[in-house]
Amino acid sequence: MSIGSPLWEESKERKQTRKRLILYGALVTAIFFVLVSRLFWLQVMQEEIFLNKAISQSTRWITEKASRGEIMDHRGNVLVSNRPVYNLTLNYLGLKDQDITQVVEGLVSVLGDPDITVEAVQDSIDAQASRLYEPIVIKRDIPLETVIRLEERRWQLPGILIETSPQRYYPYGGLMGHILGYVHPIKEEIDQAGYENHGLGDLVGKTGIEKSYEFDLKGTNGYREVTVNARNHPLQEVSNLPSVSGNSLQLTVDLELQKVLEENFDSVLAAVAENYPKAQAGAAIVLDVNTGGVLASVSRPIMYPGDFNGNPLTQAQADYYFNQQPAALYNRAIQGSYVPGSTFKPITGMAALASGNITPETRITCTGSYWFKPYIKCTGVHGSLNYYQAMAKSCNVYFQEAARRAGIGMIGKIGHEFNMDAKTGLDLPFEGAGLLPSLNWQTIEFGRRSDVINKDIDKQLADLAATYQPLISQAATEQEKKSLERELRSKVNTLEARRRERLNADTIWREADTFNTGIGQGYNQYTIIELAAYTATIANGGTYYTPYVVDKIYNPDGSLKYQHEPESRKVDVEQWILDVTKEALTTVTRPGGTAYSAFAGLAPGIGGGAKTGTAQPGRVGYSKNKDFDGLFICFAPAENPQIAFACVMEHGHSGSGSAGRVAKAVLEYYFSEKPQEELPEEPAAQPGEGPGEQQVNAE
Amino acid sequence: MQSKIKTIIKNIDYTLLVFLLLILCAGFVVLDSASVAASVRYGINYVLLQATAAAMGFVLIFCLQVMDLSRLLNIERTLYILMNLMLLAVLFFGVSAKGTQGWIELGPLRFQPAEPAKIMLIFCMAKYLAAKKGQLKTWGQMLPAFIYGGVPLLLVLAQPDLGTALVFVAILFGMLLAAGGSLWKLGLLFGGGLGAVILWIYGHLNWGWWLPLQEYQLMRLVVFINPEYDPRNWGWNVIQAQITVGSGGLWGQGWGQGSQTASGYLPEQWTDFIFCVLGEEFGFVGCFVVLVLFFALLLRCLTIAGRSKDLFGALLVSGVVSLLVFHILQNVGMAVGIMPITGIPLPFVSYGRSALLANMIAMGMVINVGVYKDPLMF
Repeated sequence: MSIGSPLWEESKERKQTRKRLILYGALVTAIFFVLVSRLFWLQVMQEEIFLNKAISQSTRWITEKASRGEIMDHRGNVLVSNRPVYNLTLNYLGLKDQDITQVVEGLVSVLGDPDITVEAVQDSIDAQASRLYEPIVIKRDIPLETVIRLEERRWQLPGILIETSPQRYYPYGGLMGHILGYVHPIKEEIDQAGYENHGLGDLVGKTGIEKSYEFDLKGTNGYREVTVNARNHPLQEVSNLPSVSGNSLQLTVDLELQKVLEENFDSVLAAVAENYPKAQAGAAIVLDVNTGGVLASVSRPIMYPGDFNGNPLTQAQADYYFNQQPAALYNRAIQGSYVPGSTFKPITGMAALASGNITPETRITCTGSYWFKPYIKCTGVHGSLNYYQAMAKSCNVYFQEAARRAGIGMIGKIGHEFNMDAKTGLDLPFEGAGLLPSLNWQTIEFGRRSDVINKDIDKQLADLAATYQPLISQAATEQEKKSLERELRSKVNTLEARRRERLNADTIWREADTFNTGIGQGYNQYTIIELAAYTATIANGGTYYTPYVVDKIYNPDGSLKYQHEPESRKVDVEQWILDVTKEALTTVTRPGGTAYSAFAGLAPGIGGGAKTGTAQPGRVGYSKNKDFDGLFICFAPAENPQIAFACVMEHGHSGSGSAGRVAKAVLEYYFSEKPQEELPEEPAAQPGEGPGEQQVNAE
Repeated sequence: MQSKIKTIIKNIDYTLLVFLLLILCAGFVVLDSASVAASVRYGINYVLLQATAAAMGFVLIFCLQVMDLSRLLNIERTLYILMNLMLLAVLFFGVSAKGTQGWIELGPLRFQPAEPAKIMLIFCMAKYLAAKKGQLKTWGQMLPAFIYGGVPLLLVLAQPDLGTALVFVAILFGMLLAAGGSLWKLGLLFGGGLGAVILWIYGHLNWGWWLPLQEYQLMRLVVFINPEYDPRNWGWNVIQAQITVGSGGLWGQGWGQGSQTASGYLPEQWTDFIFCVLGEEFGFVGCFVVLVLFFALLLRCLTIAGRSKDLFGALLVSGVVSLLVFHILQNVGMAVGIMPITGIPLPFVSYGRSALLANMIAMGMVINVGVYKDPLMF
């Protein structure tokens, strides 16, 4: 056994082993050198890169969505508020494509929601392809059980976040839905001016006040910077920039009056629909005659803002709001144009008085139909009538003659004074403008039509020439050439005749057009807000107030940011004409007047002025002489009027029988003995302005 | 007898013990911060358990000095058979943990036979190779040595415990190197083996060759080459390990201040990825100090080997050095991204009492060689 023998000390093997051990030592040194070099590279040369990676993967910016401002009625009743909901979002940052598929599949299986499929989520991602650094909202307002289910599997679903965010809440459902408008995810707005601070996934106002006051209501999102661990659980907050909620709005609308208006509009509409099933739509507005403030406004079919609110619409909802007739999304009070019928007659009357060709006492005899073509019939045989009586009876003969004497130029001028040919400019989006067939309108419209007709005929002439020229030049014989030229000349003549015929038919104002206009038919078309504003202007003695809905804007701290100052202008109509017309309208509400029934229930001494209208719109879906829109305009009280009202009920058949019944309910509520709370800071309603005010009594 | 004990105590290599103690202490410090989350979760004080095992280890080290290991006769064969039986037992009665059947339960005791097997293999190989006295020049002479070491290696591989198998390979090569094996043949075998493995994996990935690897083992190799192949799953550890080490910088973020460590970006950070914690909290300086301590310890071991009274002692120490060097290279290497990820702990630092005790016994064997360096002592 040589092990441990003294020979080892000097042996060759020992020397060799020592050499090998030194070699081994060198190998170990090399290994350590490599390790230390690598460490030096990682920790000293590359420190910044890795430190940044460590920080960025452990830091999250969490957006804290700002609450939109609340919307209140003029007494402070909250009409739109907010409630916190859970939203499911996908944070694309830090995920690779193969992970996204995996995460989305996992998410879909956890949710088990038929609406949320892999394709649907992919669509949401694609829709946001250019802004993937912002969280993608997959579903809003998910129930708590789903939140818990997702939280349990959160580590399997990197990038999936559940954020709470405030969502619109409508305590009164569809009440005032059209005025309030709805919010929905931002789309094309994102590239528009003013929306620079919006992000994808934000809900923005699409209609109504929500849209027109978007920048007041939105508020400023806050941000929290938090560090998170590997499983995305927050560890600590690094910085916090709190969100600032939007400004709140106080409307001119009175909640109770609004309720009365909507309830009665619905019940009248239902009653009318029993006889006239086509009656499904309409609108009404109540204005404060001394400020232009909208006290109540309704449009039917009803719109529930909560149906939108960031949620995708079902097909049935989409049909209801957009596709069917009548489409519910449309605010008929400001967007719909209606043939005014007899509610236009005060304009005709004022134009006739202003022309000097008629006085209030001028008598015109109604024999049942007008004596000029097209001999439009009257509602009865009224006999001899002055201005007041004609208004009370709504005599078509009188107002056709009045229109004839005034001339369409004067009608247009008076209509223009009452802003019937332009948007009122109230603070709601998508307002429509009426069509007043003034001379100005005729010039533009007939010019446009002439262009169309001339272009059409010129083109046909050119075509004709192009067809005949080659034939003529190639004609074999002189005989044939002559025959062709004759043929061409005859065809050209026919076309020129057709040109004259068409220009004559479509681009010339006829007397009959004036007669039709005089009784609110023909080209006339106005929005309900235009009718209400013009009624208010007559009622207050000639001051046209621009209607408005938002009265005050409050900062989030409750301080007043903005107080609406009514915008007004005096109409350029002689005061006596206004006064006489106002008086004429009051006769309509007295016994024998067409609006008597609407005012019959009011306490004595209140009274008011009104005009009914039954219009033949001649639109799609209306049979001539069978389907009529019912319209009604009124103001009250007779002395120092406070409110003006305008209403249309599509297919309402008659003004007094449909819109008039809504007016009756509103008036009776408004002038009933009700607990008159506060209203302290409002100055007492001003009487009609100007020293020229005078009392004109009816005959 | 008393004089013998005195001589033993006098001959103990205290330099080595000091290095060992310093490494252990550094280990406790790092373990404390690495195990905060796990301690809370499982209600276990890892540092205390580890320290207890270390204390036991020191007792074992001293006990081991009572006899001259090179004079233990006829124990080699028994030990070799015992080792193989133990490894065989694991295959039949083993308990699974972390994907391998590495554990055996004896009543309340639970241990990994692979850990003592490493020590036993070193001892047996040292005896076996010493008997050959450097006769390891021809393929014919080297083949039996490879068969001798290959049997336990295959048993470990069958568990399957690729990490420990690689440790066995390292021990085998290291000891053959020290024992005077033909350098170019060893180099050829090592290089050829590595090349063959790479070719095999490449063939598997590209042409679907059969490969006896589990999916996770293959993926670890794939993401070692390209961590971005699957950064959320298999590549995660590779990426996070480097971020953690790299973000430590020169001076580190301070004890207990590592955000990556505290946030749990790394799994098993109190065992396999403990070096990352060291790197993040103590920076390059801390890593350098610990590596220097290891380096000093290993050089000291090689010095003791050089002073050994016989070939067996030199080989025994070389085996221990091979064991430690491979563990350090593999563990630190995977933390810094130059080695693929395997479950190999850092000696004396990673939590794990079986491994710690085995390593302490290995140290005891090295010290034993130093204590009995004089052939005429007793």
